[in-house]
Amino acid sequence: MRVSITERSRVIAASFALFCLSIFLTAYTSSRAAIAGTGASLMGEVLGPAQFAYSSVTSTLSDIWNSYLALVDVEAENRSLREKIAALEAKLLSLSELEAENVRLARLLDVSVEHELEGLVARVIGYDASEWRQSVVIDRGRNDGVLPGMAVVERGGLVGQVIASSTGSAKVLLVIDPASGVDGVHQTSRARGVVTGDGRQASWDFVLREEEVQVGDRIFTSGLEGIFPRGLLIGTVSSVDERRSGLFKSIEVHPHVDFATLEQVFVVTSPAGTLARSAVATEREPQRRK
Amino acid sequence: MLSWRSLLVLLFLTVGAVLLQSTVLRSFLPSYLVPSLGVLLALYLALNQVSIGGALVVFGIGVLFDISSGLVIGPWAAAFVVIYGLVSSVHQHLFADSSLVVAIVAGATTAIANLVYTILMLDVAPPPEQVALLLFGQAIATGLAAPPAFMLLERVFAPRREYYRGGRARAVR
Repeated sequence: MRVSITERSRVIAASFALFCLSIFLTAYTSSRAAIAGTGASLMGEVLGPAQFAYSSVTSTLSDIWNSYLALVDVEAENRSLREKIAALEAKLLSLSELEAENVRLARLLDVSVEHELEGLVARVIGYDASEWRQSVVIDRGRNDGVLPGMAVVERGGLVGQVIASSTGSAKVLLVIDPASGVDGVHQTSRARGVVTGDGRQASWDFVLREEEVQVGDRIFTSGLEGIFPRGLLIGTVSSVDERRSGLFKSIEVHPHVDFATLEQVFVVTSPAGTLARSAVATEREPQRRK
Repeated sequence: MLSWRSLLVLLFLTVGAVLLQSTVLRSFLPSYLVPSLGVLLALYLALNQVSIGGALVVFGIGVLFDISSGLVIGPWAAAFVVIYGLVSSVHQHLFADSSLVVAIVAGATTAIANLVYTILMLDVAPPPEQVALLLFGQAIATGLAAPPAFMLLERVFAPRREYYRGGRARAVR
């Protein structure tokens, strides 16, 4: 296609003007999350049904495969599971005794007994169109009571928070996204810092050098940012680097949730100040640091 | 000049591209090997629709990609407009009928678009090693996907273009 020099100059000038407009939009919307959230909600209305349909087809095919074609060694697995159930039932009996004792002691200490998190189960039906962002789309939306700001968990571990919701789907920003920030607290020393993602893992930033943190220690949500319930397990410390100069330690955290195989999640509809059950033991463990 | 039909087709293709990238391709491929379909659309327009209208459409495609992420509106629009401006300024020197040229240009523009996006989102960018993996992995994947994608886009747009130009399609009639 032949284009005159004048036309080409106009196109380049228009491209430059649109580039400047894009920069302005980036700056303007980066501090106004509601604008991008509203846009994502509208996009969710269009894409949600298609994503749900695709996810339903693939999960049905996967179910067929698991139910009918992958029955190899099922008898041996069945026997092993029965043995595990027997062992777990025995353990459950002793745990129920411990729970009753825990409630009695809590009453004695005048500490209110925490309630379980309320919410609903959702299925992951899509991912972010950009490979640079770590977010997923779930099959529950505004119609189910899922709203931006709600926490999302999986087996007691923190997944992330809802950033946009349409009628039938919602977008969840994962805790491993670099744009995510969660106030994290150490399992025993109660040291605090901000857990931010790096795309695959997470780092626990702004932890003072004098705090005692070791590899394998667990980091929980503190609930202080007013978004996540307290006591959700974020992950375990995978490395601590004290060589770096400055006020803070450099700590890497391995997330508790396996984001590569995320299929079902639990959207927490309880208020942000709620204390998760997993925090009960943590809160009452003796302080390691004197 | 882009017709209303072409604009509607482009809107449909953009939404389809977002859907493919966010659902279908991500369930088969690791994230760094998912081709950037938005870059391919912008590149196709830069090679075949050099006009202010083309630049505006590319900007719109970028905004739609930004909206789908739900975080910030602007960085993908900026990245797509940059590659549109760059390629449209040299498009007369590119032999776009060659699959090899299309693949190389698609790979290079993907790397440029990702670089622009990273610079604009530097505060929330992944660590350098992951940036490099995404930059080169996606450039290669987009380069490989470009020739078949361009053939598909030619089938969608070319007959009408030829007709309006009074070219081959009219001669056939």
